[in-house]
Amino acid sequence: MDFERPISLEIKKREVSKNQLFLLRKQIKAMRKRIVEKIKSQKDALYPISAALGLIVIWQLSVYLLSIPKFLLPGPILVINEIFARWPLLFQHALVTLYETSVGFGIAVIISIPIAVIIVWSKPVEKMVMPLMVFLQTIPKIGIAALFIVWFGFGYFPKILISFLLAYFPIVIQLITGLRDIEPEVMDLAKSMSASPLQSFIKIRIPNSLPYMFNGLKLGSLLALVGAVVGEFLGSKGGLGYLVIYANDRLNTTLLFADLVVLLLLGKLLFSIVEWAERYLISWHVVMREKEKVMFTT
Amino acid sequence: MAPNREYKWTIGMKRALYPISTTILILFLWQMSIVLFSLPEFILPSPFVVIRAFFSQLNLLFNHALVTLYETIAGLILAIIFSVVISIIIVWSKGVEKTILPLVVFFQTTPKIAIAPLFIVWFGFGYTPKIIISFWVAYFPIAISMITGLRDVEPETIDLTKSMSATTLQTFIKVRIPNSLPHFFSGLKLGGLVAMLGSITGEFVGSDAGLGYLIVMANHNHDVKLLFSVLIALVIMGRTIYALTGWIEKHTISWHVAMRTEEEKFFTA
Repeated sequence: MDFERPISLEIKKREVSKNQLFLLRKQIKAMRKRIVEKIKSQKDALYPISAALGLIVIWQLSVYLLSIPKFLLPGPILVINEIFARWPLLFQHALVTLYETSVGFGIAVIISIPIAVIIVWSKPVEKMVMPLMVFLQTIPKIGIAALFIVWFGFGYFPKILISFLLAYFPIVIQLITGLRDIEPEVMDLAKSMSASPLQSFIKIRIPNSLPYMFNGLKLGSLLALVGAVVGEFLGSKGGLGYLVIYANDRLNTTLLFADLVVLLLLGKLLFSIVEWAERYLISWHVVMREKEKVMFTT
Repeated sequence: MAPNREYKWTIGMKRALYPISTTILILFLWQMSIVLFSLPEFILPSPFVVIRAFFSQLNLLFNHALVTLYETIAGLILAIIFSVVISIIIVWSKGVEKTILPLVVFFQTTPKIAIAPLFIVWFGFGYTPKIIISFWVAYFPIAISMITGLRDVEPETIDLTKSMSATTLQTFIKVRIPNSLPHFFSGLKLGGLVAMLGSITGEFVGSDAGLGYLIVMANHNHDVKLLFSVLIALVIMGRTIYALTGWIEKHTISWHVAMRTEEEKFFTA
């Protein structure tokens, strides 16, 4: 009876089930690890939160006990009061910075995708453009910020341009890496199944590039904010960076602190929006990823 | 050996041909657009004018570059000392790690440079606030890389040292520190670039010397020639700092540099 069974089929069957089992097991393992880590991280979150609270208490106490003048170091209670009292002003300036950052970031995303595709598509373009981009990447771009302000004045446009310039490089270079760095075996498989270049591009290269792209986007969103703020430092009529300089000139350190807190929250907001989009769009990657990539910004 | 080197040289030349031709093309377009649209010098000076301005103001640029370089290097050295000490403490003690590391990571993803004006309020217009800003921005990449390097040792290696009854200190010196060095240098290279940006931004906000101060001055006087010259100086300085850290890396951990297949990518402001 064993004799009559087609052997090849059996092997195939077994292999498929084995593969599926392997994948399933891997997924379950990753999920379990994630859940355990989540519980653990909630417990672990107690440490930094209590440390931060402790620092704030020490800050308040030292301001109170050593009677440090307000223009040197305002206490945390004073800063929080200032945030609520000056909320309309802070909100209005935060909107300006948010506008500059998001427009610059949006343009960077729109432009970098076709450029990355062209570079990966054509070898001569890559050879011509890539070294140049790597070189441009090394120019301190906040130095160019001053040039834009001379050219385009104190309005929104130069800041949008700076945000764009800062966000553009990480996004485009990560995208290129993601589109290009594919295991050769996968490409061979696609070829052996006679997939057209377009098909392999859509089905293999683009999905492969998404995790890289989101790394670039995360970094880009932070850098876009830095760009807008530094642009506002150099010359502007509105925005959180302008408010920083305004408060600084008047030695209004309380307003300066309040402004910095709003800026910090804005940065966190932008970062978590991109992170949320990543979790939503490429959940297959986020679930399997073992550890978070650390972003370095200025 | 000799033919190999020659071969490498020609390959390198061929590779350099494309970017060089693009650069020449861009310079040509730059010059052409000035001639065609007759752009005035205070909007966009021609490449020749920029180069001439750079060399004629070399003395001024050099003096201010020295100030920025001093602030950057001092901040960088402070950052190295602090981050090495703190990362060793963090890796040594679990409790400290749990307390400090999340805070470090939290601040890592904030626009740190925006705090620059605060340091100007506290420490005035001299060198100190810029050194502190350089330190503040360079500290994070170095510390986080160093912590990663000290911690992410393959468990098998640790098991091996344990089975050979090495003490914790021995494991630390013989396994963890060598493992951390590549990470440390990658953080240092980024830190060097970022420290320069920190000191420039500090000079933007309030100073009387340095390349950032020159940028602000040129900005106020609409001196685009000077702006371009400062940019050239900044590029040279950035490249020098990067090359310096790369050189130190190459001589300290040649075993790693030789094995590395791919250059890391850094994204800075």
